[in-house]
Amino acid sequence: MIDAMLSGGALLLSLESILMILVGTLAGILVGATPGLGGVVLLSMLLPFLYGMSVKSGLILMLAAEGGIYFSGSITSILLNTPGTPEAAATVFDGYEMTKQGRPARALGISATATTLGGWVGFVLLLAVIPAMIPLIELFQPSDYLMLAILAIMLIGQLRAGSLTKGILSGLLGLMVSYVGFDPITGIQRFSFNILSLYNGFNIAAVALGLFAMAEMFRLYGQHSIVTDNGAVENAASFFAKLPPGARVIDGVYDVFRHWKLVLQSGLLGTFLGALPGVGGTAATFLSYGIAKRTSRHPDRFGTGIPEGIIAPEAAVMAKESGSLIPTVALGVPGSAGMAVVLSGLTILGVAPGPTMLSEHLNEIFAGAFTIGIASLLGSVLGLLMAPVLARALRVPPYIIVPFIFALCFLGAAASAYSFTMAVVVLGFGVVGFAMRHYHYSPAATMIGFVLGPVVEKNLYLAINLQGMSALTRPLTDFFTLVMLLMIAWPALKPGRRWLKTRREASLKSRLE
Amino acid sequence: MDSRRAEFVIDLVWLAFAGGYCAVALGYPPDGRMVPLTIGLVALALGLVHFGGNFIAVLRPFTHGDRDATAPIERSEIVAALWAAGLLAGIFLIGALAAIFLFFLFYFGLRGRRWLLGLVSAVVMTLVTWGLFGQLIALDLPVGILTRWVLNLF
Repeated sequence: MIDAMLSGGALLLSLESILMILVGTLAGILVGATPGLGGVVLLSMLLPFLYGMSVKSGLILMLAAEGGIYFSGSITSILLNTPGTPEAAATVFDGYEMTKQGRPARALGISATATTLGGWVGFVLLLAVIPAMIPLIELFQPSDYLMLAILAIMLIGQLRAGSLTKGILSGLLGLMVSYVGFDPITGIQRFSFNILSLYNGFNIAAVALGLFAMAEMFRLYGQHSIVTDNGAVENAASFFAKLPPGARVIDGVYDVFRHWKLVLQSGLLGTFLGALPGVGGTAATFLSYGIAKRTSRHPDRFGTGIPEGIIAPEAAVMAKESGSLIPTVALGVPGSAGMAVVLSGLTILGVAPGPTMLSEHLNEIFAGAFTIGIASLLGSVLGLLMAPVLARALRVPPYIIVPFIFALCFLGAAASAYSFTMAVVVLGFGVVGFAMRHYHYSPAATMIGFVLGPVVEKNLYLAINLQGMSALTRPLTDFFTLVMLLMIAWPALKPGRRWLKTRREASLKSRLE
Repeated sequence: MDSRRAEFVIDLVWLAFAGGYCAVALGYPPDGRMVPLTIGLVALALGLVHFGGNFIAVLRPFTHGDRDATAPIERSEIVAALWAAGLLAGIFLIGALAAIFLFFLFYFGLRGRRWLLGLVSAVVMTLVTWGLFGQLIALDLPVGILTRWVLNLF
């Protein structure tokens, strides 16, 4: 195992890997600082470029891009009260307060250091967990994988969708469209209606570009300016000008080391939440902020511009990324929408989602883990240096970005399959993705359903043919089924829970009287 | 269209889609249709329950959630989709290079009266399309139906 770890680290020592880390991190920084363009949009935009790349380079590029996003998303939160990414929303409370108090550089120093150290906590845990996952995945039988895949789709669906059925229907849509094209079992064509370009099914890059990038651009087109107060941009851009003691970047760095226990706590929490499919980055940062407040000796000071209020969400956000990589590479079950796109990228690179990833590409996965560690540091350092420029870049109205993304989506999707039919697919899924978001369905569940469709098909086929009825007696299968049933029953139990609560309150009241 | 009516239409479209999917799947050999048909039937059954939420109040929290009514789709969002559709139609009609050039020129010219930005973007993106996608990646850029027809005339 140590050999694989060292080999993984050694993979990063080539010029190509260093270039991928740099390019990915820079792309992440630029996109992270642009409200409206999140990690999922960036990762979708990178998919067409993965064709022809090695597994190592592709994985490094995607994870570096994902790692570069988070700190720059926080830059705009701290300086302009405008989260660059949804995950950076919790940083606004204390980050922007510090800026208003004339200490923006210190707030950025805290954010950069906490993001890096939180990322490292997650990275160390990732290195520790990957070897432990290998014997665990040998316990899995086809029926277990089948139920796990369905559970993952349902979990992601419930996170983003407006209701139980909307979440499940979103996942089902992904599964249904994944069966378009060549059937690996019988060799026949399914749902392709003699359209030559669909013989290999819908292209993953085209589906991701449509569901995420294109749909997001429809929304962004109508926005005139992200920052309403141009004075805030001026102030933010000149934050390096005067730095009295107590307001410098280095003071922020010291703050983080003074609160090392909070960094550890938030990093561990972030990694744990990241490993659970369906818990989003925004939920992880707010939860981390809430726990830090509850466990603090001075909870009343949260929201007034204190370092702990920045450390808690920032240390959790990068750690969450490491955590969400665990189920993605170990089980082929993405922990988040971003990881669903990473999994799509891995599929493009020729890696089959599932347990074989750990056995066949262990070195590359370790290289990916190291990339998260490096990108979290590089993203913070470069982000700090570029902060004034990024703050000014927010003046650019969002509608200027839109035509470039449109053109790149069409060309990228066409290049992915060497067919312009895929550009039509992008537009089609763009409209579907937009409508889904507007009416509170979950495009992320559709994407995960699409990626896991072949996994579901293969394992259902194997479970029926190899396991038969004995599949129903598998403890893991039963456990995943039970969780799924609980998920479905949970909303139905709501009136009962409410009744119990009222009764408990009434009995407490009568006892007090 | 108000959001409730729009959701009703979406639910109907889903039922038609799931029903059609199952009908097509039935035409495949047993091994090939097993999974798509299973998924399709689940989608159809759940779609019916979801559709029922439009009429049965008890079902509504599970099917359509208890959120406030969704805001109607904004005009700008439809305009954005039309710009994208226009670019795509242009690619197939007049060819990728000409469509991209005209798209950028008119997008910036008409959207914000930024003709100079439009011209610079148009030139840069046309060069990127030709150099990166056409030459380096060797993507076969469409010439366009109209362009080919005009060329055939001469």
